[in-house]
Amino acid sequence: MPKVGWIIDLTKCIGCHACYVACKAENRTPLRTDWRTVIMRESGTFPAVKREFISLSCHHCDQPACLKSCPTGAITKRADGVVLIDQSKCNGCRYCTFACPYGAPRIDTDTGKVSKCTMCVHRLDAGLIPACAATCLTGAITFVPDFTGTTGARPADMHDPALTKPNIKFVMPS
Amino acid sequence: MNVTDATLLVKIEGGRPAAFLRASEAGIVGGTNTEFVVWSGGAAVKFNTVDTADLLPGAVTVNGITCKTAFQLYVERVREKTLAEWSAICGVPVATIQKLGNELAAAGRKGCVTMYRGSVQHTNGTYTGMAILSLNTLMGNYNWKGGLSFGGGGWSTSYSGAPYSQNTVPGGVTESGVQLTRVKSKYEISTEYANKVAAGQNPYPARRPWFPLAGHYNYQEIFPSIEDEYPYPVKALILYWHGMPYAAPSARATFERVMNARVNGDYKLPLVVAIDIAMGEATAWADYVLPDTTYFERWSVVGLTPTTINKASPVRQPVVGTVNPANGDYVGVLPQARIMEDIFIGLGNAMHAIDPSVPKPPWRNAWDYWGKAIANLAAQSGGPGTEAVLARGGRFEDHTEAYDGARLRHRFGGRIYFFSEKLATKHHPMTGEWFDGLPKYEPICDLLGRPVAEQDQGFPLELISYKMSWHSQMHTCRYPWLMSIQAENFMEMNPVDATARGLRTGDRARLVSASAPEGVEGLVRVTSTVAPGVVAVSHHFGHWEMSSRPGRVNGVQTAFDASRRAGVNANLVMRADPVLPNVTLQDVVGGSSSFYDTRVEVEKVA
Repeated sequence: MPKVGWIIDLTKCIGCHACYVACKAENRTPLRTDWRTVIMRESGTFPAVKREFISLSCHHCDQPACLKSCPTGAITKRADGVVLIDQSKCNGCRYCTFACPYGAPRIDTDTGKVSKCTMCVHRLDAGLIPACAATCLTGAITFVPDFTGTTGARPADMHDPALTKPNIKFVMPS
Repeated sequence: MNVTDATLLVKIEGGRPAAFLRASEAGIVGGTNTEFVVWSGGAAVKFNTVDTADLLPGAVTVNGITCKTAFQLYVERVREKTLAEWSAICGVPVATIQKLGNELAAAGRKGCVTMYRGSVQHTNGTYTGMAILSLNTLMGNYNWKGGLSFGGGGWSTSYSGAPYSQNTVPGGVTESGVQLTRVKSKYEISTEYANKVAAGQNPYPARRPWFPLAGHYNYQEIFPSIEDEYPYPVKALILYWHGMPYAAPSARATFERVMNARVNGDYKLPLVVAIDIAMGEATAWADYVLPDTTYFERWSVVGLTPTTINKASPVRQPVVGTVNPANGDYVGVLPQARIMEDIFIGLGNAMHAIDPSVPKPPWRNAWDYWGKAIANLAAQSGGPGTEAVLARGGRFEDHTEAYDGARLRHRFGGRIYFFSEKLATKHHPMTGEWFDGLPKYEPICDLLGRPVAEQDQGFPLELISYKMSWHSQMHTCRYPWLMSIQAENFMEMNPVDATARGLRTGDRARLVSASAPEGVEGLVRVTSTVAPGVVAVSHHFGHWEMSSRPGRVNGVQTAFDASRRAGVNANLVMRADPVLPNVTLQDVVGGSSSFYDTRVEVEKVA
């Protein structure tokens, strides 16, 4: 069965945070529980200065470290590759927040448990694409229903994809 | 191809280009005072009688009048300074200017120079804007693909032969007289001017500036003019979505003085009514606050900027609340909120009930007005009809209609000017000098034309403001999701300037200017994205109202959210004009506030 994944185009992201807001609006996560974030950073010295925007959520890895770390069996991986945390089984131990190299699992400030990007499974199951990808103004976020290959080129300081085999690729500036 | 004024002769009077020479003045037989004149074959002739004319003939004498072509004047203006001198003024290296010039020239008609607030909302903004546009004139890129666009425009909500005339109010009043802010009026028509001349005085300066050429309402002059009762006192004010003390530079103190001012025991401005969606910085002072609907709860036809090259008329309509299908009555989500048009119709009906001589509004409700406006644009030129327009959220030309070969389909058809006669024939209302009809550089000046930099020694940094990509102006502080991206804004500075002041990211500091020595206090962020010598502050934060503090309604404390108050508002520090300190620096030609001409210092708060 094909597996899901992302292509994040860093040459198209303008840092508008529409994906972040779309995620909040779609999933109604608590105010400080952010399933998708946009990393903003800069390099260089004026006038040769560059800004970088990287929109990230859960990479729905082939070998999810979060799943391995979970002592309650709350974390599962669906046949299509979506990694989910069952809120009725999560006990809030937060092991997954330490295990994930990418910071995807988030502490739910309302319940004290951990939640994360579901890739909008409720939308996928209805034949729609995730809210962030549907909202992105510039086409920087592409939802891929049949992800193939490996991460390849990636932003500086991102952890080694060999650790968990994330289903994400990046289009990097030349 | 567009026609320009390049070869048209301009009269030189008193050493300045004064106005276009007319055929009647040139002594051309049968020449009228509406016909321009060119220099061709060593003689002055009517512009429309020859195929070619001299572009750079130097100074020529026509019927005893010294003249130069508009392009001659433009070239002389450009060459008043060397490239090195221009470079020294703008801080862009000569080599960069030459490289950009070459790139632009190589692009031909597909190259374009555009502008927005940053380059023109200065005291010298009109002249700078003219200079920028003249580059496009040199390129000849107007109306070409990739060149300067005037926009596709939209369909009309009101036109001859339209199905409805929803703007007609039987027995209604029409506006007349001089506007409070004196836009579109010349000082020289005023009683003040006449009285001064009659008394043998120099009529200049006017008490406050007049703006004969300003096309938009010069917002920043409203409350200072009320304070000065100039040109007349104001007894009532209706504000709609108005946040001037927050949104205009250097406006808060004057606004609050006006709100508190009394004349012989009575309020100077006795009645203020605000229609607003939030308890904003101006609305909080109103005698009556009428709750407005959100943009999800109303109809309107949205105008587009010239960046949209297709013809389009976006139509907004309620997506929440309920519309009565029988009569169009709308009830929003909150029971007391009303669409602005419904508020005005309700007021009109109430006034008519009290005094039958006041005409009854001809509309039942907001839909009665907007439905007709939308029907008109939906019917124009064989349009698809209201139902189709509402279903699509507007009326839109197909995108394939944007171009006609290498040219834009929607074009500007008028003459393009290097020399603005309209400008050259008006006086500066304060100095009495003629305005200049040509693009020019002038330093940032106060209302008497005196450079401000010389008055602001000790404030070495330049203050700019900008908008973040996830906020718009002043209202988005009410959206918790947006405020959770970044809880407050910063005084952003280059590492060079921060280091010199011992400042690091996260330090508390005070931003001060010559006219705001008390300044505002906030956090510093050190970033190389800001040029040395500049302090940048985003314009969304630093509110003091917006229900960021508790209010009282009928003795009961209202809900509030203190997070809306986070951060700093640079407008509070922006430069007041040294000549009229109750208003910000402004462009006395175009009427805009100056948003980028304040010199500041950033002081560490221990």
